[in-house]
Amino acid sequence: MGKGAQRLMTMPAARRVAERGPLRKLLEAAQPYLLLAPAAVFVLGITVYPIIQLFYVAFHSTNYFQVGAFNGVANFAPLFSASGAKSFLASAIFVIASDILTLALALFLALVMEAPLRGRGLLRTLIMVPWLVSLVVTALLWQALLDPNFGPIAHLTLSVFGWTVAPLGDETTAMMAMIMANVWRSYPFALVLILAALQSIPSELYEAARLDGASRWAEFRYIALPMAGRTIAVVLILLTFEYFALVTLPFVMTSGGPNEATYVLSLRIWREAFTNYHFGYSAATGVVVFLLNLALSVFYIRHFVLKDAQRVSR
Amino acid sequence: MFRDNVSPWMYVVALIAGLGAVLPLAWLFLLSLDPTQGGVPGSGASFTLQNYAAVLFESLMGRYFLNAAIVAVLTVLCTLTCACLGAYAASRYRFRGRELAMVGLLVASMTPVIAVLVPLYAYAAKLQMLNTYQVLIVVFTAWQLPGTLWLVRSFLDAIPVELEEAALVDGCTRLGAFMRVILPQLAPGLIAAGLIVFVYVWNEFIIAVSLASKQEMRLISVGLYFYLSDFGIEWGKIAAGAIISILPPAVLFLFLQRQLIHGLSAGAVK
Repeated sequence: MGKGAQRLMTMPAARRVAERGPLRKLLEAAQPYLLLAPAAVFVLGITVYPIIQLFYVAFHSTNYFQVGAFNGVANFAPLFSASGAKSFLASAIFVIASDILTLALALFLALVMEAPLRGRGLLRTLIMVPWLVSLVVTALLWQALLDPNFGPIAHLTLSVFGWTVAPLGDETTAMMAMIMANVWRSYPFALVLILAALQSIPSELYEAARLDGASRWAEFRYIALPMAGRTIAVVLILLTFEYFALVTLPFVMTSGGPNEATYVLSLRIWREAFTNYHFGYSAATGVVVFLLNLALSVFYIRHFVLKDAQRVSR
Repeated sequence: MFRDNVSPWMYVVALIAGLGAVLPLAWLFLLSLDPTQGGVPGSGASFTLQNYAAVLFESLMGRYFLNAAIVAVLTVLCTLTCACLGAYAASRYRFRGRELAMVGLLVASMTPVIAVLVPLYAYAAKLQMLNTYQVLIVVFTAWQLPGTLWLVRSFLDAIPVELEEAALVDGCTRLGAFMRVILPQLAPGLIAAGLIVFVYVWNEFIIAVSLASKQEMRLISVGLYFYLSDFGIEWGKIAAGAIISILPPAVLFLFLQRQLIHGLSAGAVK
């Protein structure tokens, strides 16, 4: 390497050191904070500030969107009425049933799709399609499919069994229909993640197990399930977050009915504010939903995110 | 478990799963072509495109489509810019409070939108920002930013710093090194992240209906919902609108399936 080239390489670095005054040092130290600032502004402004506002409003009387005097826990009273209890129950049923069905379906299909099926790529594309469909379209689609007058499902049951069915008109079947639509739309996401976890299990484990005479069930129970367990747990938590805060599906598909059977907590937040104009009641429900959600996120971060960070740094 | 073994029942399961995913949408498509309204679609009626014509030219659906496209694209740009800046700081600098900031972002990303929506509405009303593109873009960006920042950071962490250091030694500024060395390697990840943000924003309903429900400001999902109340229950036209609304995510998915699936799984499970 010639002398000139050497000087060219070292010079800028040397100049940078020479120019490092106190101001420049400060600027350099501030750089990462400045880079994070836009993200911080968005998150503080659109998440943290409204949460503080939410807690403030929950303990004050309101008139439409005007906030009045402190009124203790009065806003929480409707939550502990019969209607409030129904919302808690509806949310619990919706989240738990959707979780179980989605996970079971995703895990089962992921196991099957691990097999070298012909046309596996096409199958995976087809299965991903419902994930692209918005919740509004999902809700409208299932509403139409289940329509008692012209829906194909009603048509089928009428011509085959002679039954007239109106699933969205009955308390139990409306909830079932909503859960079904929800699972239909969201299990592809779970499937993709679980399939990736299953595929990353080394084949040697299965070969060794087979040499030892393990059954398929034993392979599932002692290899697949433990190895993919962490992913399954993460998927479960992410799905729970999604289902618990879901408003669109009950909003469009059932409007919370019939007889408040699908009036989940998240829909209650919306309705109290924008239909009944009780900002205070809405905020109180919001506080409850936020705190339940926060408990789950703390659990998730402690057991999954921070544990990972430790594992990586070690 | 079954990776070295195929039995016929698996094909049956695969067939049911594939049909289960596609049949409802195929029916929706048939419904959208059926001008008769009612009855089982396809039963003798002729197929026409008149539902599509009605939705596109006799309602504001075209406008809603455009609204959603503008808001989604600007949200993607805004989110990716802020996420790149923040992720670069978190990946390439060591500074006090770094992990705290990242965990804080993660907690923020888990905040349920519905809990903050009503205070946001009151806030936007006070600022006279309801029914504007701006309010939707700001709220959507804040909603998508934490997850995207984490995702972009994981992509950045996977790019070795040596190349960048070499560029710095050669006299590049940090910005120059980012643009010339990192960005080309980061591009596939950014496409995946942008695609996910686009699909989420395109399909979003509850924020949009709360903050921008005035007729000409509706996004496509909101317009579709209001079609029921504006024009009555005309399933054929609603189906046509629904099919139109599925097209952009479907086309993107068709071309960028690999990136999308990669981004989804990288974001959720590291």
